[in-house]
This record gives sequence, structure tokens and C-alpha cells, in this order.
Amino acid sequence: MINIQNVTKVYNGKVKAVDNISLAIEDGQIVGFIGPNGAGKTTTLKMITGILNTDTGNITLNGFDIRKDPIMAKKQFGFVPDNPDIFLRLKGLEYLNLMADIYEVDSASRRQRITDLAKLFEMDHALNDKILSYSHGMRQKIVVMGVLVHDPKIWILDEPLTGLDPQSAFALKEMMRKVAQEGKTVFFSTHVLEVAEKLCHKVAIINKGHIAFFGTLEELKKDYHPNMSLEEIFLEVTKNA
Amino acid sequence: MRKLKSLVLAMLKNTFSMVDQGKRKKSSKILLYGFALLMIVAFLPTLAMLHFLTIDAVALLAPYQQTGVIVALLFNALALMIFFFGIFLIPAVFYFSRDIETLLALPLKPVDIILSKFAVTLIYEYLTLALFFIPVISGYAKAVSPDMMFYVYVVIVFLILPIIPLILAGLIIMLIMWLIPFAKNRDFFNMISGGIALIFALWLNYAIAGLATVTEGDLINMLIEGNNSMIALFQSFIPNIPFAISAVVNNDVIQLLISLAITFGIFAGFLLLSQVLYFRGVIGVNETSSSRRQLSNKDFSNSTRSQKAIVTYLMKELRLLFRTPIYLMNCVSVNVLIPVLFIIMAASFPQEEDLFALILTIPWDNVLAISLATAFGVAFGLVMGSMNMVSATAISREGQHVYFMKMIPMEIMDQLHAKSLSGFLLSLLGLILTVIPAAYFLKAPWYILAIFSVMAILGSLFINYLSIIVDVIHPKLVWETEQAAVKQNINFIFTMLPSFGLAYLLVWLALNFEFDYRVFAPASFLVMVVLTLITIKAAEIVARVRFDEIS
Repeated sequence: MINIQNVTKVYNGKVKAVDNISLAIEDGQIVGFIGPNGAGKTTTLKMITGILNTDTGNITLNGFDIRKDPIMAKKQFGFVPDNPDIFLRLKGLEYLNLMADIYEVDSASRRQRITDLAKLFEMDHALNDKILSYSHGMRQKIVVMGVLVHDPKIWILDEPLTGLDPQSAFALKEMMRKVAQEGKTVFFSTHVLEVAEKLCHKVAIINKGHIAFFGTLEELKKDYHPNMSLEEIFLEVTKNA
Repeated sequence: MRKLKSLVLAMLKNTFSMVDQGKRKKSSKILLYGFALLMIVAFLPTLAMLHFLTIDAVALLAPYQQTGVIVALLFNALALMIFFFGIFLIPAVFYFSRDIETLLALPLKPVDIILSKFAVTLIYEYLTLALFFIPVISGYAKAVSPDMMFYVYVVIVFLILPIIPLILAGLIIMLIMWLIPFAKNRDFFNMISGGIALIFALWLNYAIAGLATVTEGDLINMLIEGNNSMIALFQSFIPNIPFAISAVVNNDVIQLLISLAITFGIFAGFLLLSQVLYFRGVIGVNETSSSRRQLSNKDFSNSTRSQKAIVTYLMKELRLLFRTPIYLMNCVSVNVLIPVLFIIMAASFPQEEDLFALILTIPWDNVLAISLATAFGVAFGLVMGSMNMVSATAISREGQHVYFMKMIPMEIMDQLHAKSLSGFLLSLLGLILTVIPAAYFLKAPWYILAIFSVMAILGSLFINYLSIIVDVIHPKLVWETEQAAVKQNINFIFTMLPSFGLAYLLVWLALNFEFDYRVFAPASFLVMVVLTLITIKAAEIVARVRFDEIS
């Protein structure tokens, strides 16, 4: 579970990127985080993952405070950043091993997971090559695999589907559903409203640093107009906020 | 021309923008300013020393009317320095920089890219040059009291001095990069291109320096002759240098004009040649080979064994250092090159028999030997540890991916230990490569080598942790090229100069005060242990205060 309470982030003492937001993302839920560019999505994800500090408020992951107990809190989640161009001169397998060692995954489990994931994402022929030689989509896949190799209880993903081919995007979405059914938490940002509509139990709409809406899609439609598409509602919400 | 101006300005802004890495807390600001002040205080004496040393040297040479030797030495040394820097800098700026792919897609002529990249490199070299040029020339001017024209000449020479060394380095690199596409394993050749260039450069320098052979008689005649006749001794592989020296020393406008003409001529030739060479090498420079080969079960099983996180982290650091051409050249090869250069210098010394005879007479049983081994050991560790810049750029090299360090469930201090250790291990490589030939050539007894090694290890540990502190306080995270993370990172000055200063102080102490080695060696050992422990603790505190704000 991710619990965000009254969190604010101010840049340069002036710009409020995130303004007093609160969200509670329960176990077993897939929550989509949507909002226009610059609304505060990435800042929020960075605060949840300990990359940025909060100015006020607190964030807990499965009960561990990200500031007070960072190591335990970080062990709870796996994070897929929006830019997969990381450690380009490591080989794919070396990267997966680095992640597995950092998250203390034993040899047998990691072997099994890497083998399964490589098959699923069709990466078995690329693991021995440097990430530098991968296409954008393959880089995205290896970063996603780096998260899945330690089987986190919470998934946090920043635009995870960008650049993935249809098969891999489908596989990832299926995995998100499966882990949610197992009782894990999935929180991801996206610009693709269709994905949010089809995949998520709930959506959080952020606009200009405020949470404009948080709830199920049914609730959202009820609040606005039952016949409006998510796209139309989204435009409406972000216009009026 | 407008296109070129915009290109140069854009590149300069990108290269030299001192982007503040996010918001800093007041405590952190105080830490940063305090540190900068401390470093300036440590740095100024080195520059002042250079200045006053020049005044003394001029006074010493004045009775023989050979003060021009100082100018000749300065120009030659600086040209050589720029040339070597160029060998490292040019691949990074011209070939491996991230903007290359963007630039190649723009409707630009090769000459536009070359001129703009050259201008950026040149401006960077002026900054480095000024650091040594100004203290020495001002010392020289103070001692010889020249007229106004001297200053005009000096400014002009300062401006043209780095041009030809850079061009030479550029041409060597362009040739190598042009030939590389024919090599099958491009990754590997890209990595060793710096090494090939350096060997070529050393050979060139050696071949040309070898031309100037003078007998002892000639030397005495020159000395007696006066009138700055000894500057003729300074043959250079940079053709405009002798004229530039003569222009400044003899106040000779004709020589200055010749020097200028040579510079412009060579520059024009470079532009013409580079039009042909540059695009042939740069297109596809970022291509990398991939095998798309599935691992065998055995290989897979071997390479997926679990390890302690800190060990894997250290391996990651070392792999990235060895596999990134810019890091390999600037951070790794230094550890091998410095000992190799020592060996080459020793081996190519003209009167080698005399030299070896002299070395073999070193009285190892002398009480001073142990004190000197202690002092030189620390000095060696400090110099190697700071020269390779591994720790001083450990955070900077992460660039925009520094978030990884904050995201993973691994204590920051453990990550910093792994990073310092990577720097330390590379210094250790330099130490091993020095101690083994030293044992062979110098016939030093084992205990001298052991004392030297232990002290070098301590010196290296200390400087690696100090470097980490510097980089945590002031990381350069916003960069376009890996080159900028390493070479355009002023952090190395903050660690290199104080470590040179400390190294000098220790050797000076050992030489000038004939301490009892039974006191000096254990005392130095204790001081170094305590200093290292304090530095590690300080790194912990600094990381706690500062790391939260890095993003």
C-alpha cells in the first residue's frame, strides 16, 4: 500500500510543483496517474521513490516511511523511470544481476525469473549484449525486467508503455493485472487514457500540482457525465481545475 | 558566419554553464562556500610558488644573460601539455559527444562543425593554459622589467600557443578515427584509439627531441655567449614555438609575424584536411556491435550467481570505467601510463649507464632512506589517487541517472565505499606497475618497497575518500558528453592541487629535517591512518547533509 499524506513540493522556493496532495493506494489495486505535462506526476513519483524529498507531509510504502526508514521502504517497490537509457555500457544480464544483488535475490530465484522474463519479452538473444546496442523499446524492456527480477510488492512505473512493441505492452499489462490479483500494488503514470480506462481500478488526475480527482472510473463518469468519454472528462477536469 | 556563431555560442553554453544542481539548503551552501574557500587557500600557494620560483630562476640566469630559457621552457612545456590534453579532449568533443547525432542531421558543412568544436576546445584550453601561463610570465616580467610591447606580444602568443598543438592532436585522432571503421570490433578500437594516439605522440616527441643533440662543449659555449643563446636548444615539434619564444624574449616583431603566419597557415591546412577526414570517421561513431547470441546454460548459470551488493556495485563501477572510451582514457589509462612513462623516461635517458650507476649507488641502508620511502610512498598514493579522477568524478559520472543511487535500497555510504574502492583499486594498479620495475631497476630492499607500498595505499585511500567528499558537495550532473563529466569538472583541481601540495610538503619535510626514521615512519603512518579515518567519517556526514538535495 502507498500512503501519501498532505505532501507538498516547492521548487526554488516559488513554484509549487505538488500542492498538499493525499492519496491512499490500496493493495491489489492498479491505479493510473494521469495529468497534463508539467502537472506534477513525475515529481510525485520521485517523492514516493525517495529520489526527491518532500517539503511537507509524509509518504509510507507498506507502512515504511520513505524518509525515516528509507532502506526498508525502498525494498518494497520497484521503479521504472521514464527514461530507460541507463547503464548503457553494461550488458543486459549484468544489469539484471546488479538489480538482483541490490535487492538480495538468491541465485536460483533470479535464474528462474530472468529465464521466464527473457522469454516473455523476447529478450533471450539480447541478454549478452550491451544495453547500448538495444533499441529504445528493448531498453524499456530491460528496465522493466530489472524491476520484475526482484518481484517487488509495489510497482511504480513512469510511462512504462512508451516505446514497447504491442506484444510487450500486452505482456506488461497482463503482468500488472496478475500481480494486482496477487494482492500487490501497481501505481503508474500514463498519457494514454485508453490504457488507464481498460487497466486501472482507479485513476488519480493531477493538474497544476493538485489532485483534481481520485476514484474509480464509474465515480468519475458519475461526477461528470455518464456519456462522456474519459478523454472528454479528462479535458474537462484539467480545464476547470 | 551567423550559423557558426550560433553553433559556438550554443556549445559554449552547454559546456560551460555552471548549472546549479537543484536547490541547496543553507547548511549545504555554507558547506559549499566554506569548502571553496578552503580549496582556494590551498590552491593559491601553488600558484604563488610558481610565480616566485620564476623570479628566483630569472635572477639565477640573469648573470649569464640566459633569462629567455624560462620563456622557452614555459612555451614548450605548455605546448606539450596542450597537445597531450588534446589527445584526450578531441575524441570526446569531436567524436563521442552526445550532440554529434543531432549535428550530423543538420544541414551543416563539416567545416562548420569542426570550427565550432575547435573553438570550444580552444577556449577550454585557454582556461587551463592561463593557470600556468600567468604566474610564470608575470614572474618573468617582474624580474626582467620589459617594455609595453612585451605585454602585447605575450598576449598574442598566449592566444596562438594552443592552436597548433591542438591541431596536431586533432589530425592524429582524425586519422585514427577514419581508419577505425575498417576494424571489425569497433567498440574495442574506439576504446584503444586514445592509447594509439598517445603512443604516436610519444614517438613524434621522441623523434623530434632526438634531433637536438649538442655536445658538452657546445653547451658551455652557448652559456658563455649570453644573449639568450640557449633558447636555441629548445627544439619543438610545434613549428611556431621557436619564433614565439624569440618574439617574446628579443622583442622581435618579425619573429612574431612569422609565428602568426605559421599558425594561420597550419590552421588553414587543418581545415582543408579535416573536411576530408572528419565525416569519414564521425559517421556511425556510436555504432556498437551486438552478437544477439543466446548464452549457454553454463555461462548463464555462472553469470547469475548472487553476490554481495557492494561487490556487484563495485564491479558495475569498474565495468563502466573500462568500457566507456572517455573514462578509459581519462581515468583508467592514467594509472598505467604514469608508471610506463617513468619507465620510458628511465630507459631512454641518454646516458643510461651513468643513470643506472647513479641509481645503484643509492645508499638503501642510510637512515634517510626509510624516511624518504615513507614520504614518497604517501606522495605517490596521493598523486595517483588524484590523477585518475575516478573518485573525484564518481557522482558526476552518474549524470542524470543519479536518481538510481537514491532509488535503490542500498545505504548511500555503501555506494560511496564501492565508488571510492574503484578509484583505490585503479591507483593500486599504478602502484603495482611502479613497485615491480622499481624492485628490478633500483634494487631496493623489500622493506623499503613494503614501507613505500603501505604508505602509498594509505595516501591513496585518503585521497579517494577526500575526492568523494568533493564530488558529493559539488557534483557536475548536467552534461552532454561523458568528457564534460570528467575533464570539464573542476573537482579534480580541488583534489589534485592540495594533494600535490601535501605530497611536496612531506617530501620536503623528510629531506630537510633529518628526522629519526624510527619516529618519522611510524608517526607518518599514524597520521595517515587517522587522516583517512577522519575523511571516511567526514564523507559519511557530508553524504548525509548533501545527498538528499542532489537530484
